[in-house]
Amino acid sequence: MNWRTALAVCGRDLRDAARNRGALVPAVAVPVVLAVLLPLLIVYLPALTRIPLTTFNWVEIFYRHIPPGVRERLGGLGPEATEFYALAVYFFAPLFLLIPAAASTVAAADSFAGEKERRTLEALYYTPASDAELLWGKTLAALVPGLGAAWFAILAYTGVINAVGWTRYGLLPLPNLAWVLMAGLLLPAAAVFSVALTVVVSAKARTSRGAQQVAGVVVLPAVALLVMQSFGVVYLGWGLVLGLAAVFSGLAWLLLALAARTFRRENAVLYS
Amino acid sequence: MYNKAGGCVREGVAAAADPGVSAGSAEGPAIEASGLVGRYGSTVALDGLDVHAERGEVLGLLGHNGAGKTTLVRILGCLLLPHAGEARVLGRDIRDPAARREIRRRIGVLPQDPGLYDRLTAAENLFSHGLLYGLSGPTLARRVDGLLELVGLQGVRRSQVGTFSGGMKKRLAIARALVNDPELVFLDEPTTNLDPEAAHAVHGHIVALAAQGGRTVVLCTHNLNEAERLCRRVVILRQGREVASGSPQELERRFRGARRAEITVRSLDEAALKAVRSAPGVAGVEVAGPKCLRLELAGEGGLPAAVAALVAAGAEVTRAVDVQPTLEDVYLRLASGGDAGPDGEPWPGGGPGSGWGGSAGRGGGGRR
Ligand SMILES: Nc1ncnc2c1ncn2[C@@H]1O[C@H](COP(=O)(O)OP(=O)(O)O)[C@@H](O)[C@H]1O
Ligand SMILES: [Mg+2]
Repeated sequence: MNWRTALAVCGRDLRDAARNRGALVPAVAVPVVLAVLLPLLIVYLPALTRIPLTTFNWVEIFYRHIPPGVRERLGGLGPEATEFYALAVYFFAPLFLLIPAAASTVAAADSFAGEKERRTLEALYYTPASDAELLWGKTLAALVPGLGAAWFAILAYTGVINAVGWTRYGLLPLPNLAWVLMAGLLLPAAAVFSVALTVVVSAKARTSRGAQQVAGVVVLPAVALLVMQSFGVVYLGWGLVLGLAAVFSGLAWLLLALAARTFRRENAVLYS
Repeated sequence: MYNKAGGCVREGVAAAADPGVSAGSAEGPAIEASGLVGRYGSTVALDGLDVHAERGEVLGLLGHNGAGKTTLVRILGCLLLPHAGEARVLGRDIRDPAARREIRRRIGVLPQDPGLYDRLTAAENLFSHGLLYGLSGPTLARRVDGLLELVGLQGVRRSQVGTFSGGMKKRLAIARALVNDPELVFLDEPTTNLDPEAAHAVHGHIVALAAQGGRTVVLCTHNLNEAERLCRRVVILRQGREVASGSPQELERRFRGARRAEITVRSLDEAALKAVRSAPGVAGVEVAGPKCLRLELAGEGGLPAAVAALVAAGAEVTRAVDVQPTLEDVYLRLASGGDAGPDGEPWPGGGPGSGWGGSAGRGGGGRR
């Protein structure tokens, strides 16, 4: 395993993707929508329409499940500020776990299957780059848009939330420990896992679209987290973030080790 | 022995010595394979093939679509593993995983589908490919320059490949196959789907790269002129098996079949026809037109005897020629699956492709 070769594979994929609107659009659009538009909409909608957020059933359910400890800490705030804080810091957090999966899916699904479709894979397989170097190079290349988009989204979101929080309630809710751990550990781990899974599917798939469909399942854990949290089953504090980061790191490591052991170009599907 | 001097690539390529490339280039023939079997699912693409190529020779693989040429390149190029059989490429065993990587490092392949990155420029395509061979920096940059010069694409080096014509893409892909200065180059149908002008340019590049001392070239084609012009030896494949091999001239001689002649007369009547049929040394007569006869000759004196018989019968002979068999005749007979035994073959009929396709006639006398 030579990292220079893996980086060469990665570099070419990135250069190619940078000129491909199909791969760029989700990497830019997903964080903008999730991190900026959605929170703004939800925060300002009640103010504009004069309907309190708690009339929306799902927010109400979520709000009722805020642990007593957190509620106490927020005790001095009015109900509107508490609600804002809970939404901003907890409710939206799992959405950021969706970003790497969503923004990298196109690139990851394209990694091998796209080269099959465009018939460039055979020339690549004739090079002395090892199977592991190809796998790592392509995984790295597909990670870049996903992680980049997620980190960019977190920065933008922090800015938006602090701006709104400061002007309306005199609050600067972010970052807190859970968010730092999420950005630094959980997001990378989850991103490596979802991207590696999609790249492995892509190596087996005949078309990029086929790989995308199968790889769609990688968003499920994040969706599950969102749903569970809104029903009060879990709460995204730093403990849970650390635990999830450990789980995803383990899964990602297992997946990559398994893939490096089993992926052989000799057995790979060459063409669609 | 690996003499790069005098080659056209030299300016750009010879400047850099490849680590590991020259090591061991003297061991044995370039390709030594026996009993290769390759299958895709239930499709048998190679059916026990033996191949041999000396260092420095240009070997032609001739055969219709589906004969197994590309599959052979994929196996020898260490992309697929054979289901049976043994092979050594550049002296290394293709079944040994470490050797496979080493072989890939020392060969260059122009796949049948050039497979270039359309969104990258010509120079980027070559450069990014070179990086995968462990080349880098100014060495690689110089080599890319030299290769772009060689294939005449220096002027469009910064253009995205998606804007290129088919001929330009093939030329760029040939340059890419040379980026690691390989000892052995596989060219899979380099001129298929090119217009004559582009094909001519590609021929020039192949001649140039084959002229470099020590470089072995394996050329897959169904273009007879190409094979006759470029290859020292050809192997004719059909349904994954060799049906004949040798130099183009050797094959023409060996598979010439019955000698043939064509005679044109001013007017043809029954008496003349009868006379020529019974002439000594004439084995068969076919009326090819109102004034034209095609003869199958049994011996040396056949043509003069036929002319004499015609004149004696009162016919006025305006033209009489011996028809030389060509590699094309040989190829059409062998690759299309007709009776492939040397000699005793009816006039080669049909065009390329006749008899190929649905017929399951595997084997039918094809193997000698
Ligand atoms: N990727 C593939 N999947 C399934 N069958 C294939 C594949 N490639 C080639 N074949 C089959 O293998 C046989 C040999 O094909 P190929 O090696 O491409 O021949 P050639 O290059 O001489 O045209 C053909 O019957 C072809 O249909
Ligand atoms: Mg072919």
